[in-house]
Amino acid sequence: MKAHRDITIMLSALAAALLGACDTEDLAMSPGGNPEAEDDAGAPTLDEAFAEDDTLENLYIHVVPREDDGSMLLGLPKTFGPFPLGDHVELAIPAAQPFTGTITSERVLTWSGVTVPTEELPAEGNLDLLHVETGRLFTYPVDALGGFEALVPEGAYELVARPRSASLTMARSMFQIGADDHLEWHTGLGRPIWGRILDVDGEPLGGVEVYASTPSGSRGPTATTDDLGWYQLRAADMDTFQLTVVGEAGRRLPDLMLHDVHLGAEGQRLDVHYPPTDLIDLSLTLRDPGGKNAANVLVQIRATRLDGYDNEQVSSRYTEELRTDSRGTIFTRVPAGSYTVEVLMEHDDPRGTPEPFALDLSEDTDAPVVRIPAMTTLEFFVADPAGLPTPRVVMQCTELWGNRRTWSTTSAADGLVLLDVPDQPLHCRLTPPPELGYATRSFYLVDEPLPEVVQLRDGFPLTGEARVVRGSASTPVSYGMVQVMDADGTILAVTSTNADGYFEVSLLPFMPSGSTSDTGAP
Amino acid sequence: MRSFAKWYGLCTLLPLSGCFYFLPVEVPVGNQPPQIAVPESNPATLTIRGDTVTLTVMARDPDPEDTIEFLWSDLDGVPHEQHDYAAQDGLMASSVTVTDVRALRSSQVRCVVLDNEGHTTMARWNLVAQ
Repeated sequence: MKAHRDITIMLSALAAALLGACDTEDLAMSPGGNPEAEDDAGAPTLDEAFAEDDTLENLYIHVVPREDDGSMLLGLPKTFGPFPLGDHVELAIPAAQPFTGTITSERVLTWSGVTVPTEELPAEGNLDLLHVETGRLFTYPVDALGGFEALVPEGAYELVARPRSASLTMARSMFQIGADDHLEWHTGLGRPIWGRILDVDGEPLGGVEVYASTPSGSRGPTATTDDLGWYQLRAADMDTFQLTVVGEAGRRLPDLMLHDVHLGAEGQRLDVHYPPTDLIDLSLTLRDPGGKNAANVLVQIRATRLDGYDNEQVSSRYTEELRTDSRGTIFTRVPAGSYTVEVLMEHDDPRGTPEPFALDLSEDTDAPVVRIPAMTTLEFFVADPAGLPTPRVVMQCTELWGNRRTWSTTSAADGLVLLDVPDQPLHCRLTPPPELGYATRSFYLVDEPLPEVVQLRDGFPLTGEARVVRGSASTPVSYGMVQVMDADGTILAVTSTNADGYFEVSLLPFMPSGSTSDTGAP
Repeated sequence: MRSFAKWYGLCTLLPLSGCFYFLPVEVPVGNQPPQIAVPESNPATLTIRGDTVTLTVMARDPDPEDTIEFLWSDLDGVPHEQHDYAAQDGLMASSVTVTDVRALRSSQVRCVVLDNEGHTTMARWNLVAQ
């Protein structure tokens, strides 16, 4: 049986090669709905592209050291690049530095409209550390005594103290973190952000949550409006901020975001008055692949625009998550506007995910019926450039929407790949064992079936070594994950370092922008 | 073994018609489960720093014809990214990054490494909050 399969695969590979069916272009499926890919019929092939430009630019490498090695030289994930393909790259990951300290604030007491500072208190809550160079955000807890113990790379950071209590001050500061730094930070009283929240009839909304955020996205403590609709927050060292009023699905009130608010010398009063809006009935029905009712499936409804809400200063956000009933139906009433409906299948659900779709709900609409895609089996042989069966090739496919679930397997000794996947567009990757030197294949699986034999190609090597460095000492990143990406962040290949921090991966060259590519982003 | 050598030597010296002996019995080795190379300890202990955590399991199957799959059953319903790939040194690997550790239901995460013969091995991590 095995010999038969071997002969079959070799004959298939030969026939495919003669017919051109195994050529790169057959695998280079354009992502669905990409007009650029479809329009650019005159684009060069991969080989032509490589002939034109054999120096590949904008190749990025993301290294994820293992977190369970217990080393004091622990490094944090880092992206390097750009690199040209073919180089041997040395990747030095700065060791994380202990950064400790305490954060205190002043509690205020408001009594009969008079605000009185009381005492210095620990700012229990969280500390955000935004690494300025990379934009990476680290969040560490601040304990009941105001202490924190962080482990971050050296560099310049935006620190945001986010106490849990709204009566304490949210504060922002810049700090250069070096080796074993310690910070004693007293944020002070800050300045008030206060106002009143009113419903569509002008009545005060009690029990509504309000919070401020920095422009970089750090979210401060949450205040709750009193019975008269009043709230108060405090902030220090924040010239501008965003105020968010958390809506209530039960009252059909969306979240409202007030952007680029200036925090004046005396603080800032911000009143929010919800505008009148229509409520629209929304129902839809889910059917499973066999046409039966799909019960207990999670559906997310997300507004992209709400009538009467959005302008330059204010935007809105309205989201509901519902599960289908025994008839496969959801029913709700939502503020009028434009919506996106997304079905979120459980990770172990043996069915596909319907494509998200838009609904204009400015008036009552007919209830749409959505069909869940069935599963299908991908069955093909993987062959090396000589047409011989290639075992131990990892095939992984990922959904383009929903929970972005993945399915994977490895090719058997005869090169056979059998993988059950949903019958919907997927992004797939074929990763040969690095020691074989064949290129990783990354492609979109849309409507076209895979050929019977997928032939690997000789790749262009990219080798490197990753080490975590602290001062003059360094230690290899052993068995860390290495991702190779293009400038758009599309992952072209994934491999690991070995015990000595060495890695090797083979790639195909990039395609010029706009051409049909097996490595392009959707 | 020494007694067998004595017997064989004596047999060849004596005018006997032939020397017979028994071949060692070959014990057939059945299909074996995958072997985990990383993490080295099982369960492994991992301290969570920040909101995300990445777990990596690397394994190989002693039977060269077997395929391997990785099942992260504790992550159903937990937002995560999974990458399965061929690692260095002939290892198969699966790395998951849990993008919000607060969504984890337990401080223990398990990954079942399954070969196509149905044999399994399990990697476990005990997550410790800092």
